[in-house]
Amino acid sequence: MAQELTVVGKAVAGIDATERVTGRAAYTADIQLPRALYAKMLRCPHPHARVKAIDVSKAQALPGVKAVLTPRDIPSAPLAPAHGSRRALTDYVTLAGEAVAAVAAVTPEIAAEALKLIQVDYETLPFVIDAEEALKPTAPQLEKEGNLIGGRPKIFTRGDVEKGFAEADKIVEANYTTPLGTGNPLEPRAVTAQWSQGRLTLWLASQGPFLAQQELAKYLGLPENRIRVISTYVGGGFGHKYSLHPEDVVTALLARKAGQPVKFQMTRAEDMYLGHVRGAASFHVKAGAKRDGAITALSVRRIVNQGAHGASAADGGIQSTGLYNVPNLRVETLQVRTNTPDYGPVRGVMDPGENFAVESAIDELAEAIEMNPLVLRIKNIHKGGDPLDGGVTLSSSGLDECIRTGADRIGWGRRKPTGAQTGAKKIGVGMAVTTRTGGSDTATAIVKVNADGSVNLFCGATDIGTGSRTTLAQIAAEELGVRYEDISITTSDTETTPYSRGSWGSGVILAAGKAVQLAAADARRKLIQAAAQPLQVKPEDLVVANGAIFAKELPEKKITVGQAAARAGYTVIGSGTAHQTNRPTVARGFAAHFAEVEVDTDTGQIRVLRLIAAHDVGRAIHPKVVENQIEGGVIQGIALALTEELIFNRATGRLLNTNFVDFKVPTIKETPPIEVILVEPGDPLGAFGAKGSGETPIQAPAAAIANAVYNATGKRPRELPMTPRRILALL
Amino acid sequence: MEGFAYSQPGTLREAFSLLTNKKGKLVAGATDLLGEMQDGIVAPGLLVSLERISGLKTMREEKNVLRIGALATLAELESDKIIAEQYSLLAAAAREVATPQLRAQATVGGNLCQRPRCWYYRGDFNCLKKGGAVCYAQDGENQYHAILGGGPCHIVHPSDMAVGLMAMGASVRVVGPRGEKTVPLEKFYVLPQVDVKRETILGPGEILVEIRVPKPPPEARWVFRKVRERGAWDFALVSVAAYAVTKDKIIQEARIVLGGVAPIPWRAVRAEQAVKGKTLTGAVMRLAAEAAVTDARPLSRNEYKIRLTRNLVRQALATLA
Amino acid sequence: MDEKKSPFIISRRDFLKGGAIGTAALSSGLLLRSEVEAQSTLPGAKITRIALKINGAAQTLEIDNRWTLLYILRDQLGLTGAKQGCDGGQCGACTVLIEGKPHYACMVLGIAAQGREILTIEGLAKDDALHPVQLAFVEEMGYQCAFCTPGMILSAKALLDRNPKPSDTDIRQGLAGNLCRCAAYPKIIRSVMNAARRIAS
Repeated sequence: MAQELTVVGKAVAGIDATERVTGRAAYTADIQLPRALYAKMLRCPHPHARVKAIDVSKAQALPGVKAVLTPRDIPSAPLAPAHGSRRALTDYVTLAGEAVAAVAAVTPEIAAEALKLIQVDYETLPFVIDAEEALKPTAPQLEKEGNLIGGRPKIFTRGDVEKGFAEADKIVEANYTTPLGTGNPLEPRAVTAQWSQGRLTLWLASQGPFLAQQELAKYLGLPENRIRVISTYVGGGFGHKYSLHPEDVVTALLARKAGQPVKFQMTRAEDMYLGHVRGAASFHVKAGAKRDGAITALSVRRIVNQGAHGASAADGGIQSTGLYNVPNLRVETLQVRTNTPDYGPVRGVMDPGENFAVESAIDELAEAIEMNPLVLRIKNIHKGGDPLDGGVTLSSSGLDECIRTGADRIGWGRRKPTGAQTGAKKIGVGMAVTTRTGGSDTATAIVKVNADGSVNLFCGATDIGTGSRTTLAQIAAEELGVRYEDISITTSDTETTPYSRGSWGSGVILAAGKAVQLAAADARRKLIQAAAQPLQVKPEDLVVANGAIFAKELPEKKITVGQAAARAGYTVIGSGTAHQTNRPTVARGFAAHFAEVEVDTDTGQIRVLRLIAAHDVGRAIHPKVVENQIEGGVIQGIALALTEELIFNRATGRLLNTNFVDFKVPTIKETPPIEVILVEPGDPLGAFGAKGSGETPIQAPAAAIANAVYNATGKRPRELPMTPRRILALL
Repeated sequence: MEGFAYSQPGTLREAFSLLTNKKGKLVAGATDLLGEMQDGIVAPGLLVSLERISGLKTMREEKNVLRIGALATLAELESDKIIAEQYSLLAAAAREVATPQLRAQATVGGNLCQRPRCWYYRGDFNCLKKGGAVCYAQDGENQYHAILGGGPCHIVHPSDMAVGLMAMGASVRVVGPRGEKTVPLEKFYVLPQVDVKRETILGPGEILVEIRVPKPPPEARWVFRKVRERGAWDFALVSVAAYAVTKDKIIQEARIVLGGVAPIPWRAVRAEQAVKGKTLTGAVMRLAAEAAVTDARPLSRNEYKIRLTRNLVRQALATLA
Repeated sequence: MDEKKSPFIISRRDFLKGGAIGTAALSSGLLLRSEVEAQSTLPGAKITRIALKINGAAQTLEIDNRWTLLYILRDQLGLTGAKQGCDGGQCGACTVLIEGKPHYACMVLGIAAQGREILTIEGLAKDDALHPVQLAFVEEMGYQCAFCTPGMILSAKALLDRNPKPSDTDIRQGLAGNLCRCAAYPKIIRSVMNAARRIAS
């Protein structure tokens, strides 16, 4: 772009703001269809059981009940890869709460009454909750190959880790643990299904309507064009609404059986134990360095509780492999099957926990070699252009600048020596850095320019609250050369928008953002072609700006975008596809977090006094959108550090705190002063230099806070969350 | 939720009859009861609302006694001018309860009579309190359970108001089919060893109608402190309300009440004895703090509450010194 | 079928005849459950006729005693601005104002709301003119997924009505009953400050 940017980088009003503040934004459960029935699921209370017999006859006979389903009534195919072996309805339960039957009735009360009338005879089986317990030969074996998924640990190596430790002057080694947690969007998962002439329309609270459509088509044996999935407004994602869920297909099948629309919304408790969770994990970290600050070896052994069906979430290990240029490295991962909720996609996945472990170890290593932890980090971090594992190259990195500007802001130089303070309340400062690969996805976008100069943008990516609808409209306006107000955007409807794999993995900006830019550029080329003839100017000498097409050298020689579109057939269509998969360069977001905390040694309470979050976001298309992502992620990260933990009753294998009071998500009172620093070096892969920033914010607060607690007290927390109970035990 | 009839009697006499003859369940703000009904813990066939009975909402000071109608909401109490000026401990405790939405609806009487938040009681566990054979907290996950007065059930009483009111020396007026009585708040609560199924002395048909708080003398000082894991909508890990009347630096009268540590709001009598007649020096405060937890018997995961209680009592006394 | 047999549901016809509810409800795509289905009720359900004043309009309807105000608003009246996030008084997404005070609609029995004046998010903007609190949330981007936003805005309105110049602490205390899981809290605090300035000017 030769011109200055007019829309990108500006804090325009959200394109959907009015709907959002007036209550008119219709989320899935707000869709009201005539004759819609209410669905409810009968959930098994046991963590491991076989259904010996089930009798639904009384439920079926209850007036007002329109459909009842049991496992025999539905396809036996597995649901979707993200759910492993999980069935939509099952007669073999490995997770308390799995559904064994479902009903649809004319009122919620009748549906609830019907569930009570279903008689189930269970054979209860022994169960196991802890991953380490599950690895013992005496534990109930949940897979043919045993509870260790794949039968052996996954091992990733670089160089020779034993040689690396032999070269080190100092070695630190410790174990860190992180709890079971859940993303817990405020909108529980919800679905409304309607069949008409063999076609299914599904309003679905989904981060990926296209993935859901594909999976549903496979499951039902229908072509994709007979399934329409609409996810216009989604009340938060955090991984929870990735993929197709059991309730989605059950609701669709109930609607088919009843011949009426059916709606379903998870209860809060259901959503907390049956959505994807962040599995409990332990990290055994060993790190070695020379006195000059060269990290010579890093070894991380991860034991990950994958739950009853989860399988894929433990890949990665980028906090171990991707932050520092460590020549000798070994990451060993044990993924363990248990009778607990399914480890699946969740914001940041395992990285907040792994970052807590690795960045605590780096802090400890710095102390061991008597080096400022900030200096140790700067010496070892990856730089843009660095070769990475797998033969790819890092596209860009602003981490060095993040560290330096963040340190300056918090006053790192004034940090007090560790454990030097007297008095009950002690103040400490700590830091952590983090990274994440974003956007290895595919997306297509379509831009339609109308003869009045207005523009429709069609893009499949769901705005789950990230502001992507606004950001994508800005990219289209900027690239096309029209005003932001001229753009109208339609998203996340598999029938009216082109494919976008989904809103996750810090990927929308890189995939959909780039697709929108390409589509707008395509439309711009066509408009210029159409304008060249009437203006008698060669296409290469024309530019589009502010809704007009004019000659670079003779700006008064112009026609409007609308006039050009009219000449080209009243509609100009531009399309673009971005394949951000398997590329030789990889875009990663980076962040450096600095926390100042006060530890009350009388009560064990930790108060975050300040948190500086310096983020390399490539370029912020909309500063407030990006700040919102970072601030929200930081607060969620603080909650992982201090309060959030799903707790099991070991005697029964049931969760104890599946509500918002006992599972302590942050309130507005948990908001410390957060200072966001945007570092914008630009990235070659993304639209206008942007890269993903959705997950790095949640990854670093725990480590930064833990390191600050150590600085304050001289005691190192190695277990999350850092509740008063744990802190009092530590001190 | 099961279906139920709903009645709004205009007089207490009618209410007694509905409660005793029709086995009705008393309801005020309903914030606690509705939760229990939604969770299937109770399934009353009749709700008896006190909404239309006049005189149960008034708050007034009379002959050096503050009289709070049981149906006054926590929000009303929190924003009342007299309370803010003369009985600020109560406003401080009220502010710490739940959220603005619940305080606008929940009543003072309901807060004193609320059922425990124990996750076994609220969850799908047939525990002792619900007529089962086991207290799951005994050998289970008990980090939020009692260190004092527990057994055979180990709940902690959830009320912040009770802690504050007890420290102010409040009593409650209870009326029932067989007349009325006024009892000191500390005699209003029942330990599980006495009756595991209830937390108060209220019998069938009896209604808590009023709370009476004696006006504190000008020399009185007080403090309320609640430690919890989250800044709002969270119950106390430990809370303390301390009240002391001091003359010439000597403690004449002291009440130290603990929340979050026992099945009832817990008067730390040993700690009170340790400060009475003394000047609040560092040594006296440490002794009193230790005395507050002398009788503590921790479960497997709540030993931290002992240290927390000790430190909070010491901090509270330091505020009064 | 005979809709007179339906004790639960005001029929669509009665509803429109009554015509009392604000236009917001009708324009929000209101579709009541059909009369055909409405007669299927459980034996033993206790029914009561109540009157409510919603967004300035009087409203009479027959309800099952078990129905919460939230269910009545969303499923009977089509006022879906109040969201169901927990159905247990823990999240604030269903916050409405009753007599000007914020309440969790999921924790209010419809029958206990008898005779009360209720304001939902649909009644806040007058015609198409947004309320200053709404304008402030737009300007500061005081939302992310916005599922909490209707409740958050109503709590903010209630706070500003009784305290037009809230401090940072007042805002945190006043909005402590509304969870925003996206944690847009820093921008929500700015939005409330912005709204206070708008209302003052």
